Amino acid sequence: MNDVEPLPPLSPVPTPARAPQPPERFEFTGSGGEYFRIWIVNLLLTLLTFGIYSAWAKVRRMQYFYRHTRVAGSSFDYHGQPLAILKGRLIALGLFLCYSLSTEFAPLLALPVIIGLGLLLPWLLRSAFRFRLHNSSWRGLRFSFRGKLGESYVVFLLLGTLGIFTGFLWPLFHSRMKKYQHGNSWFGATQASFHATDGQFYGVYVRASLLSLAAFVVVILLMVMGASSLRELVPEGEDAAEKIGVAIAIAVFITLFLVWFLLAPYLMARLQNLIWSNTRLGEHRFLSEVPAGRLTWVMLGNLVAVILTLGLFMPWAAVRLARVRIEYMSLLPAGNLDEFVADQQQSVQALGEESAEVFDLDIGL
Amino acid sequence: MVEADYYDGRSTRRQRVRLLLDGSRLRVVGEGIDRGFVPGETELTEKLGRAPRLLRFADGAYCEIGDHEGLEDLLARAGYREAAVDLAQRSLPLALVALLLTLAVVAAGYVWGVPMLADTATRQLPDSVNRMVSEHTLSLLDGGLLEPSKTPPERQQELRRKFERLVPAKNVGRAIEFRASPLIGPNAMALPDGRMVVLDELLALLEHDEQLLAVLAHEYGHVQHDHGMRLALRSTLTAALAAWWLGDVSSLLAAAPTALTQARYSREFEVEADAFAATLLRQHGIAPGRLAEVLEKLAAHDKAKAAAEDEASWHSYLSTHPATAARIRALRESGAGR
Repeated sequence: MNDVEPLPPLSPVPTPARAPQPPERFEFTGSGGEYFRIWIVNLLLTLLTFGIYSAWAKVRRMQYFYRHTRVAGSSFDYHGQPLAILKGRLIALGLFLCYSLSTEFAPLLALPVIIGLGLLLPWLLRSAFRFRLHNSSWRGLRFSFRGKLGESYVVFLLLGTLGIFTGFLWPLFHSRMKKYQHGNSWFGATQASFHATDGQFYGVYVRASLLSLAAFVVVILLMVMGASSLRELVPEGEDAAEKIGVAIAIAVFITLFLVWFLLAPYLMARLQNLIWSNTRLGEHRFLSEVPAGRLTWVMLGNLVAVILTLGLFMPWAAVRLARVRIEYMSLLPAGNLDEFVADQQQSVQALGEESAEVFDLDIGL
Repeated sequence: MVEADYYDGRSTRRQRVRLLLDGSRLRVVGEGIDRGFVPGETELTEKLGRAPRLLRFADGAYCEIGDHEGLEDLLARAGYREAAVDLAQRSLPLALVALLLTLAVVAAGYVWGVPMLADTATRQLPDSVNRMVSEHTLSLLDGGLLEPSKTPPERQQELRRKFERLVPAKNVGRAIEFRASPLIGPNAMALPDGRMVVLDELLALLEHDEQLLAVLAHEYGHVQHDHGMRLALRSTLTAALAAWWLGDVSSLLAAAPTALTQARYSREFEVEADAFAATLLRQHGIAPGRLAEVLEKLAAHDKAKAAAEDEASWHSYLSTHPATAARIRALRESGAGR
């Protein structure tokens, strides 16, 4: 058998152009049914090995999602090593046990333990950022994270603590955290930059707060109206008033719960759009236009389906969520996407770092 | 013949190439590119759904191959077969078997695994841990819920001596701590290190010292079976597992299994402590019915309190819960069957 002669001409690669090029949409080609097979095998092996396989499972999961994510005709890839992930999971488990055993059995020790964990957190998060980006690639070039450790302490320890305890500083923390994360990201020898302002973050959070306030007022009004019509139906009496009170309390609780579930996806969509539309890679820009309503619909559907199936819908849910979050994103190239190059110096340096402290943590940032 | 994209690993330049079979050699051929590869030696990533497969060379260059059928055909013609494990990972029947096995493992882990693991861990715990935990718990309670007891020291000594007659000589000297707590109300509790705390409010409710001995025998049962520590470890373990399973979806959902198991285990432990107390009491000529009397008094007390505070029916529901009625009946029967 011989394929060599005769060869038809190869389909051409689009010719390089200098001028700004049309947007490249991100695509996600995964499917729930396919991912279910990977997920269930991962789960079973993880259970049978008492969690040890989870590191290998994570690699397969990440590879599934990365390789199904494409932009400009090429897919991403994930290169995490299972043993590094296992190491990170053991560290996380150790920390979780410290925390939960101290709160359960030695309440007097709980505070020192929580403070100790807080001091460790910025270092852990920076390591996790580095691991994740270093192990991500597109068209054969690795990403990397080069944020300074000191800055991580300012962002997570100082601003993070202030954000959690004051509430109104949370958007500031979020803004600075993303600036630290995206502004210190590199693709090969090209640095990313982050251009969203603190004020824009406040805008999103304030709008979400106003929406939830409005929802709360509407709920209360409906309850009051409902109560007065109930009172006409129910005969007078002390007991009746009490029952109406209980009914209102339950209804308020349920409605607030629903509002919370509606608000979380809204906030998630708006923040993703703000963050990615203000991120640049060199001169190239991104655009994220996730519609809040659509994301809300997908997430609520996922929640209901996961509850009804006692968790078995999770692989479909993960794929549905990934699709809506990825497919509304585009890359706006400022020039030729073929011209990114690897940073030779950096890759030598990265090898040294790898053995020293590279391990993975599961973070939702 | 398969078309693919080729990247050199040093830049993002994309080049079209062909994978082809030349005699018995597999080659990647494109403009200025011509390199051979050997499946099994050159890394070819597994098939993950419809994601492109990657043919990775040692120098960082790689091919991104989207044409799965073409590639499989090419490899077959070159005489290579896919690894059985890769085929198995994509098979639907095997996925369904994995699903059934997973459900079985989860159910078994919940019903048997968690209690077994927690109980084994409890047995391995050194006494010093039990002592430390008990110290922490008691000092925390003393700082908040508990007040010093108003029971005269002579009366305390008398009750301690009476209880020491019930238990084997080696256990004599286990301290019974007396406290008061208007907030908790009539109650007694066992600490993991074997000490028991009796509240003045309980003493006030009881009419006969044998009733208190019955309560102490019940608490002593908790101590003998390490119930405190086992319950704590079982809940911690269930919480960790539930958080792992459902944590992504909702932390509120993840809390539900923990609350459910805690209720289940604590009922189980109460019954076990009752049985222990019944045996101990009978051996010393005290009717197990004495413990039933205390349970009735506690139930009546809760009901009266609920009525006085005009609370919703939750309180009375809990105290007249069938579990309590069943415990009372079991204790009465174990006394009658003597």
